[in-house]
Amino acid sequence: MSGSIWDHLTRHQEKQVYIIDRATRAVISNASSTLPVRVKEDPEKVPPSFYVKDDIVIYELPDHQVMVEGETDIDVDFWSKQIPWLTYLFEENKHASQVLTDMANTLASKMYDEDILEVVIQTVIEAVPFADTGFLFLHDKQIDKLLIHAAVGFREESYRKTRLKKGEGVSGQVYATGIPEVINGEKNIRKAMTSMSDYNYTHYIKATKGREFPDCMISVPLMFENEILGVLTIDSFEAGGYFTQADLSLVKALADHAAIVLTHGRVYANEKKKREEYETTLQALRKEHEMVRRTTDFHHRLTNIAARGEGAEAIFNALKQTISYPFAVYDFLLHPYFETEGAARKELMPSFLTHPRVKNVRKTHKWNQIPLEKERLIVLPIIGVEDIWGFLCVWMPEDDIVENDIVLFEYGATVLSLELTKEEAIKEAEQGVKGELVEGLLSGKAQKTLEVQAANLGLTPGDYYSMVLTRLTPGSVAGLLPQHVKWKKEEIIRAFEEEFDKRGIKGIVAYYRSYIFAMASFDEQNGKKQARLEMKQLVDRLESWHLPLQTGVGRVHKNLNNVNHSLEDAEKCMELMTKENDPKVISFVSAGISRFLLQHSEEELNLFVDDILGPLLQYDRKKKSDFMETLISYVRYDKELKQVTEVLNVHHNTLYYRISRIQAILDIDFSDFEDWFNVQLACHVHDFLEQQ
Amino acid sequence: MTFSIIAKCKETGKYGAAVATCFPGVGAHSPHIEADTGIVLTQGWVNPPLGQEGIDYLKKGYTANETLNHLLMHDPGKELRQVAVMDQYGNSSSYTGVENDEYKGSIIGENWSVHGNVLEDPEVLSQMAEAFEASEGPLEVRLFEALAAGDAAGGDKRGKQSAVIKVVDIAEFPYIDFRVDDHEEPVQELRRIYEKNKHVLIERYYEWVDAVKQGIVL
Repeated sequence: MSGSIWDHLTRHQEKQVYIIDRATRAVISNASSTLPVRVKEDPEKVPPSFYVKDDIVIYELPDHQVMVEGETDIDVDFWSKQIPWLTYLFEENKHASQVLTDMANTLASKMYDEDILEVVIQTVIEAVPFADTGFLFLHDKQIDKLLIHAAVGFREESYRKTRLKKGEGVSGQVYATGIPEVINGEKNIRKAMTSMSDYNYTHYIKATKGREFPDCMISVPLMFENEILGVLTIDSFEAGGYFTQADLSLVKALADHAAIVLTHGRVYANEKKKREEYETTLQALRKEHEMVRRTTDFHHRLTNIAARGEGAEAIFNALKQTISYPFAVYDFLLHPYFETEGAARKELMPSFLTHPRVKNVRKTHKWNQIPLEKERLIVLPIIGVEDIWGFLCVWMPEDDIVENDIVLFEYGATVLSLELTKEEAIKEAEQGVKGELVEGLLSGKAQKTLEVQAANLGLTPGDYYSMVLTRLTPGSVAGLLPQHVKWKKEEIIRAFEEEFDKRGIKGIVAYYRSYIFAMASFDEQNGKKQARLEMKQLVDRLESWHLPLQTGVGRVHKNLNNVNHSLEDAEKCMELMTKENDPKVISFVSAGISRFLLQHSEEELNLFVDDILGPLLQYDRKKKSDFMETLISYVRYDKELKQVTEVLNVHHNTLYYRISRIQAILDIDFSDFEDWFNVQLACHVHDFLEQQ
Repeated sequence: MTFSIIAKCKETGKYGAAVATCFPGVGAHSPHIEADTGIVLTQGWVNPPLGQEGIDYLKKGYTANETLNHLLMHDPGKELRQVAVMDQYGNSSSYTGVENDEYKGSIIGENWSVHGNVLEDPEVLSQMAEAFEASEGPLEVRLFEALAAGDAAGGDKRGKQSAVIKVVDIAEFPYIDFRVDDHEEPVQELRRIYEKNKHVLIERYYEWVDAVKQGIVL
């Protein structure tokens, strides 16, 4: 406190003063009120009507008690005269302090409310005597103008359209200069607002609800750390109000407080937004991290498997542990190479290889998706040395968000491709070694070298050996691409190897010219009989195979050097195969008469047939008869009249007649054993040659 | 058959893309951009529905990688296409199908990526990337610089015909959206159109948006 009432003091000090109302015992002065108080000049002079207690000078007035901390020589009359003024000043001061305290409390409690701006303007209007309306402008950096964000006592639809430039109107001027203004008098205010644009002026007028201009107004900047955030403007339209400098000071103090709150609110909102963004980013990062982690783990596992040469099976198992969906690996002929339990219950559509998307996979060597009824089938190519080796097929639910797993599938298919290519290369190398051995055996290569090669392949030269030759039937490979034919042959090789394994037969299976050969070896200690028995059982098994094969089986020979004889047997059987309609397997030991016929040239056989049956053949040709057919049936059914007549569909008298004519033409008697044997043999040879 | 760039401005958060090709009216097909969401760009044998599908997916909060994988998963002709996606974080992801003609490829940088196919030279992409990185100023200017660099390096080996530039800021209020549908020098023409007209709405963009929203006259 300061003022003229203290000017007469010769020496004064700031003293803590308490003024207490006797009736209510309430402290009128503020708890921290100090007054410049004249100090005692003459220590001996004791002012009347006061006493000292614990260094506090106490004045007892009729209605009040005044206490001053420390020494003073002011007398009681002074206090009697000044108490009314002091009481008024204290009341004013207390009001302003209370307003600020209340506003601080209000703003603090509503700092994060969405309507904080409305709270600010409302609180200020309530705090200032005569204030009844007001605007809160905030500066928009993007358009560099003041926008009204909250108002009391104006029409929103109009004031919302206000866009004040810097210096425009009273508020624009306060924003531009940062200097608060108090204007009293309607005329003065009207004059101050002439700097507004027509547009803003019109909207201001439209926004007012009664009179166009107030009696008084205060406009203060909302300033925080030298930055002006906006402007707070309050008006008084009612009761001929008048704003004082004290009101201006109060509004200014309130505005400072509001600016802090607004800045804090902005910082808080910004921080909240950042926190939300951070949270979203974090979640996205976690998802991406999880994907990268899965991919990296999978990558490491597969890399380790490949490095340790654990093979395709280990790769499948790693895929199985990583991918929870049913999946299977098929070779190009769609034979399952590996499948999970779930995949075993699935079926590829019958037209899988010709499905447009599978065709696309084959064309591009890239994965594709086939929508199914309730799920989707992801088809990934497994690339071999020359072409697609097969497919990795994964069945996924349609509604599952698993797009990222495609990276795992792709990597799995790639590693699988490399592994299968490697295995294929190893197999081809093995086949090459085996093929070399067979070629060596047949070409009479140095025995020592062959024995070493055989030993390397786990064979003992002194054992018993038998050779099996096989090939795909011409019908089964018609129209297939060379790659597919190769695959089918590989399938046959696998089947032979499995069969040998199952039976404990040592041997090698490989390509030999256009055939596949399977060389079986049997321990010499078990004897030839056992070897023959085992070969017989193998032949029986081969006959039960449902594969489109023609197979020739050679005899069992002692010693590896003689295996070429078994191969010759097998080749002869294969030769017979073109002459026999049905048998899938011909074993040399059971080839019957055919094996003897094979020993003679075709010319020799023709001469024999001509020698015995020539006249009948000529007769048939000349007379267009079919005595030959009758004779062959007669031979085949060993003179059984009933069967022959049934087959030829003739009466027995007719048959008698024909047989009689045939004997006459051939000049042969069928009751003669030697003649009949010759006729039988000639008919066999004729058949043999005909089929050839 | 195309070279393109997508980018997000680190300072303003604006998304933008620029494309040039030897095909008429490229702007009708691509790119798809949405403010506060991201960008989806398809080229090669363009599949336009991928654009909106990708934007919808990005809106759900998926990343560029996830969105790209989603799009590829449901596009049976993915090998015919080049697809690039940028998410709200400014991360890019791109895919170049094997059935696009050479030279084809993409380069991904921080908050940007460039892509192309049937290019005259691999340099087209590296020149675009360097130009964008070296440039300063508003996003649209940096996009123009990149596109011009690609054009100067040879661009599309079949020739030139159309170009487009799009930059978005506030949702539903186009910021920059200029197209050249058929021109001998589409990239230069696109820049000319921008320079001539930027003062109309672009330089007063926020005032315009504010005016439209409040129903007032600019």
